[in-house]
Amino acid sequence: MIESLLMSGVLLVSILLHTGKIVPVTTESRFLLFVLTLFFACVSVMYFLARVDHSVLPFFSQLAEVSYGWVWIAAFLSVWLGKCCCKIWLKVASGAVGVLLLILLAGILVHAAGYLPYRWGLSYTFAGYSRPHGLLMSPLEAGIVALITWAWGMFWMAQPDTRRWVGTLLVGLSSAAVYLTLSRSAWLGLGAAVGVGILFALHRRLLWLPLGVTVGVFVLCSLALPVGWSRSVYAAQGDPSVASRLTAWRKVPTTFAQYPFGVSEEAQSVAIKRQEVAQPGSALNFYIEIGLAYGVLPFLLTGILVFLLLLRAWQLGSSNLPEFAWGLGTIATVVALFFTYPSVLVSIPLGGLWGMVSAMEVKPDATTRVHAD
Amino acid sequence: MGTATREKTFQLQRKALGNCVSPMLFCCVESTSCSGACGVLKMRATFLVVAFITLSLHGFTQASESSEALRLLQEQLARQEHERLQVTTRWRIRIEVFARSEDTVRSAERSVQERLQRGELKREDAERLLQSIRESAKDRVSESIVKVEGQGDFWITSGKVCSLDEGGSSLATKEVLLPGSYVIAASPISISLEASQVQAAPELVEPLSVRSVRPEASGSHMPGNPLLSRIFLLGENPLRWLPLEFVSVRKEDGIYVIDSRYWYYKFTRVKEQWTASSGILNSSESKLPKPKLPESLSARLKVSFFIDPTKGFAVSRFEGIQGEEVVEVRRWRRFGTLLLPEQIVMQQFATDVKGGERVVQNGITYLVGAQVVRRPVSKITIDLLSVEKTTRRVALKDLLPPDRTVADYRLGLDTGQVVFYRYEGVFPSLQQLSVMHQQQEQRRREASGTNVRQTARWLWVLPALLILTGLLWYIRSRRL
Repeated sequence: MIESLLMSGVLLVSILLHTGKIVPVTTESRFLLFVLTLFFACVSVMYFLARVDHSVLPFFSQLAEVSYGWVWIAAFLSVWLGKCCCKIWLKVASGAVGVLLLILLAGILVHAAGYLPYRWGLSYTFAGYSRPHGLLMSPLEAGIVALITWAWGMFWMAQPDTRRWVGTLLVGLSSAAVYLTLSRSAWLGLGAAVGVGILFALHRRLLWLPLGVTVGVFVLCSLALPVGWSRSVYAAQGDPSVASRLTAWRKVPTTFAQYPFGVSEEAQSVAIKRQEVAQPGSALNFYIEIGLAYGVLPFLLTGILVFLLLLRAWQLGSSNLPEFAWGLGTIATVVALFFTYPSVLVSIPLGGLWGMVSAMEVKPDATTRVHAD
Repeated sequence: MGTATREKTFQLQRKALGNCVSPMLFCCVESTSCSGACGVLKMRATFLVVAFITLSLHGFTQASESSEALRLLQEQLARQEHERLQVTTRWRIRIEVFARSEDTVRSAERSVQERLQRGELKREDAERLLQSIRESAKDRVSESIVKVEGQGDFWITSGKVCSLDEGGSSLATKEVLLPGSYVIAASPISISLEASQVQAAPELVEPLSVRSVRPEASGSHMPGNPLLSRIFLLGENPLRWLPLEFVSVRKEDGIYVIDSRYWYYKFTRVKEQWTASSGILNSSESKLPKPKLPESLSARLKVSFFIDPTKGFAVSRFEGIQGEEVVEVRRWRRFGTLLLPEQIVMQQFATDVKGGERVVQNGITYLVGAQVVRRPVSKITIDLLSVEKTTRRVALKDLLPPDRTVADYRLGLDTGQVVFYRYEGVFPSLQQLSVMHQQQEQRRREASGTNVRQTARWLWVLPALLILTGLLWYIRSRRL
């Protein structure tokens, strides 16, 4: 119950920050940012230590698992605070996350070419095709990462300088990565973002090129690897991964009614095995997973926050700013997360992206939202 | 776009869709089209949407028909299983293991000798290996008799163990098998018996050395997959072993075919995907149409059960993964209302890849120009000797007396989820067993003293700090 209330509180603070009902103060913001940076450092160390050897360091692995639900919201708030009060921190953090994203994207593409940088216990295959995930744990996560790098590429394509051409390359590679993972959630996300992008493109002709590159690369990849089409059709042909999601979603209302503050570990051991309760981790839906882990109130507040983010994405698209690209990335990831959830590593760029979009000003001449000491 | 071109496009679209889409939908497509590139784009988008909806509807229709047939099969197979639990049958099992080709034997011998020279093998081990390789160059035949006694709620099977590897040993076993469940008693009795004496094998009486409840994989009356012996010899409902989300049903020439993407391969449960070094073939003694052949291949898993409605919905045929295992009922015998298989033939195949040049491409090793040959490994012929109504009744409690510690492996021998508890005359259901396993794990975690969640409560400081700061800012904002 305490964890549920704490999560609700943090989500409420995020919503109030987004809506401008709270104005951050510089000194306190910097202190908070320092604490959050320490948190990220600890989580990162735990994450990588846990991968050294599970049998030697299970404690770190479990600690990383316990803290992982907080990572995305911590990243969200960090970017908010960094944007308001510490531009240097934001630059360093953006650079680090950018490098991380590029490494992860390269890992996915290298894996798609048949080389796996390191041996991961699980192999994801479909019809004999090995779905690439690179340095990440699953193709679903790889799809989310590719959606974020796609948004990044779109943003750079909207720039007037040489970044435009790098952006084109990034959009092409990311679209290819999205297809090659055969992650249908990422496909849906990309489809939704491209759909909204086309609506914006009716008024901004510059958008046709990046959208054309995206669709073109995606179609070319599907022609080169037609197995993806049968994977789409497979979703309606009794795909067990779809069936298991639907089964878990059906149990969600009962679970929320029984455990309004989240399904605790103690409750899991007894109630879940009665089969009428959805097990945390079984829904494969980011928003429902928050509900299962932290309760109904955090679930509703996350819904509100996501709705506000989508609204902001729409406003960015309607404005004449290049930041609309990050808005499209937000739409893509929000849609994709209906069918998956991110791990610790992916939660950082994902929360960062959402935090960045939330902290963006729609009007270019808007005053800063930070309150001077 | 000119009218002629547009007409041509529609023709192509009609051709692509075949009979799936009604002409009315095409009228919609045509009416939405407008001149210029925008019109073409809209038209194509509409076409894609129409195709997608049609395919989805087709898929859903198929799924509902399939579930109706599945319900029918479930009922019929359960009925037949119930009837088979009332009869006692005796079977003769004849196993023929075919000799490996001289080339293969020579190459295996060479490999062992090379390993011996490199010091990778001890001399005794090498000699043992060579001995078994030489034995595999000869045909082997063994025969045994198995008795299956339906007891209403369970079966008691007894007989000589048959093994492909050893060509039949002289151990006799008795097993108690619950339908859709597990071997609950597997007690080797160290008495040598001739096949003809099996019927007079000692009855299972107290004290029994049975202390385990194990999954089906340990049943060993028939070589190959023990589950198949249960389905064909005992008449067990195969749907008990197949999670329904992995199952689909089709009808082929009046025969129902249950396709499953979940199966029990050796000791491991596998679903969806099956990786094997040689499971790659559909036709025997054939050159592959494509010149490249991956050295190892991950294939879509599918096994099929054929259910014949004219034989009282009995399982008449089974096709294993990639056709490596085929079981077929050749003759039938009527016993009252029941049709029993009189002769069952099980064939096992292996796939050899001969020749070819190794080429590494994109990290995958290919054998270019290799020839794939499918060869029979063994043939098992099972004949029904006799069938009668079960007259002797044995209660389960007589076979496994209560008040003893049981190691229950039903949650999965392959996953190592064993539950230890005191058996008091009734087995917990699988769901109860899962709960017990969770409790056992919880106790183990508590005992090991690493309750991570409690340790991780220091993390709560961070959100608490954020909330307090947010509250402070909110109050300040209100004052301003």
